[in-house]
Amino acid sequence: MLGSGRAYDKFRHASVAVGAAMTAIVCYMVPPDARAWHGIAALTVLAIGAELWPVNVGKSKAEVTITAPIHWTAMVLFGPSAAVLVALSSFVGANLLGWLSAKLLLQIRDLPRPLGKSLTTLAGQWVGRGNYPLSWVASLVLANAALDVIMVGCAALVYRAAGGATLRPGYFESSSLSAVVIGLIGPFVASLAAYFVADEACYVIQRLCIGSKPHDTRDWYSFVLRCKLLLLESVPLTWSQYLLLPPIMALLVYLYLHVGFWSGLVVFGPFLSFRLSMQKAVEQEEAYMDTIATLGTYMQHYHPYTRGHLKRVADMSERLARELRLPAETVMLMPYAGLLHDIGKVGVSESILDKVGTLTDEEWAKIKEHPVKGAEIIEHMDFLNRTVDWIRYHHKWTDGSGYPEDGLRDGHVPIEAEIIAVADAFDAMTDDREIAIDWVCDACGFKPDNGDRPAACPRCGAPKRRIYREPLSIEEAINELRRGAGSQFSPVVVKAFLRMADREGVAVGGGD
Amino acid sequence: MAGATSQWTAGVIAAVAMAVLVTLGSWYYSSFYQPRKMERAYKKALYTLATAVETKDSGTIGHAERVAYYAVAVAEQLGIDRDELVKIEYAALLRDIGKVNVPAPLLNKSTPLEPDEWQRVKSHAQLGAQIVGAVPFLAFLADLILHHHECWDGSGYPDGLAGEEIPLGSRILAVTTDYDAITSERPYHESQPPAVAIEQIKSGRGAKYDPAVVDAFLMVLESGGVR
Repeated sequence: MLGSGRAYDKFRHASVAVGAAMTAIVCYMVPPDARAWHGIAALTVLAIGAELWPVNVGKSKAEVTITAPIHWTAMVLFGPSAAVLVALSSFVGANLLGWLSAKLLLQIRDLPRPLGKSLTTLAGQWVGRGNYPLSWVASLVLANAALDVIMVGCAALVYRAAGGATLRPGYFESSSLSAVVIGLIGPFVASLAAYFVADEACYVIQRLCIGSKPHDTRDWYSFVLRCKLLLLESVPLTWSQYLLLPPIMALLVYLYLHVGFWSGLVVFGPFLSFRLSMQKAVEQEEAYMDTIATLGTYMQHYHPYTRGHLKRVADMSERLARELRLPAETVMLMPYAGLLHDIGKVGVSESILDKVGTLTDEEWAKIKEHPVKGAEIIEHMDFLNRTVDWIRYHHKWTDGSGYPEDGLRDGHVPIEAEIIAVADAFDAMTDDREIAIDWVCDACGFKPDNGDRPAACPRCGAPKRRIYREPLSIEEAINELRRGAGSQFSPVVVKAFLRMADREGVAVGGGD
Repeated sequence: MAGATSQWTAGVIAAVAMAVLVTLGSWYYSSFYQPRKMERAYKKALYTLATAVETKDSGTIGHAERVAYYAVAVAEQLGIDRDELVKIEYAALLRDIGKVNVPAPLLNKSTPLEPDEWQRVKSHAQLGAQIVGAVPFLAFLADLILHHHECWDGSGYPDGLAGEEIPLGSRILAVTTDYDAITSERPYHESQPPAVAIEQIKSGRGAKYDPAVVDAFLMVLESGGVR
């Protein structure tokens, strides 16, 4: 069944199984060349370096690694089995190294500063997760390594099937141009295509397993439509790497053939400058996005209880996205979506938002417009284009009720909208919104100057009614989430929330 | 042996050439291509937020954009340098952002406002300055936004500044905002033809508006810089 937490676990187990099968098949069909062990080892070290030294996408430390050209180099120089082995060992090696440094950081306090700093760099996204049990780390790392192995394996098998040559020193000098085209370039382009297809397929299957099932239709047509939409979302982000990365791979191959494996170090120069400029571009984009998001947040601030609420929703959405292992790009955009999810309320009259009594149908209709209005605003922000549907559907229930009522594009709520919904609901339930509003006596209008919140008015003695309900405790709120899982909330997101809350705890607001 | 050496050299040359290419490419990308793209997107996003507020103030959609256009034209006419132009453009876009906290019925009221209602509407200048002042990269716009309803003779709000005390950008905004308001339709008045608006602006020269700014504005209108 699609959409249950179990489906995601199944996906992970299946990917490990397929990855293991892929490794076995490739190594059986084309055993690794034992004489090339030093070249394979050098590429593994290089790949571990690239894995540990990712491009940081934004403050959220979502990371993008540039390991693919190294895997392709192994494929062209040493054959399919070497490529798969390099992919597997570098991913597992880098993550284990990261986890161990995080563990070390946790256990040894008062490290000298430079050492502590370099350990933090090594640990990367494992910082603060050093206490995770080894079994958990192993299953996570293996599941993700398996995806790499599947992609590289597919590419390498296609390369071999298309008649791709295993390059030896002197290959270019001894081959004619047509031989190079037939024996290297053609098969390599084919293998790139296979890599691309495998990459997108893994992504689509993963998203289909995490996402909730379409509530109204489950026929073939809606399934195809969903796949198509997922591809439309992912391909524009990934296609450019198939132009940018092959030159890096060509440089690596050329250097290995002409200068020997150790001089592959030369590649670090351009790699560093590439990384630096990516970093610079990312930082600048982030400064702009921060400015826009802060301005948007302050615009919503006139509401006394929104201040801390938006910040907490942003933090929690980001953590949930990370917990669900969503793509780096999504993790990076999540806090912005969290901050701006209610921006549509800017256009709703405050006489309705602030109303204490029950709302009329007409007023409700106005309030229900805010996700659509917010989405319209976000649509015009090129930085945040991808978050339009996340904001549009953050009040849509997993079972299809909620609003906006005009239905979903493909019959299912985007997982990101479901994340915002859970974070928003949890914080709204546990936040003491009353404290944020000035205490005024209902009977005589008396307002204490010292910020007191007495139970009865000191001047006329009338008892004070609470405008909002009492905030729930964390346990009560969690029970509410549990109860809503499957109808209002996505079961996968709620499960991730419980796992996260159990491990790291959650922050609740006191009306600040 | 000679063959091996020349191969070696060729390899190194190729490596260096590729390294230089990649470095130049990334430098161009991060220093020229990306910033330009970013800035366009940024301006559009700011404009969108301004529009979000305008939707409350019915009939003013596009107002911010037009005012920004006039304001930049006038500032250019006055020979203001480029950094300041950008500042005036952003301030023109975000000028009314403080209206988020003014209830929509007040903004759209067709009858005269009560004194306390008028206070509420007037507060948008301070609130706008506060909002913008709280955002690190926009804080430099706060004084222009705070004073965009000041008058040359000191009769404006919030601080009643007069003459050169008012920042030049705010003086420009005052003229261009009013011109656009007069020529577009509002709940409390019909839209007027440009000639009427020009007459009103001229009659406020030296009283409500800075004479130099009015002259520059009229020159911009004459030269066809503003449609």
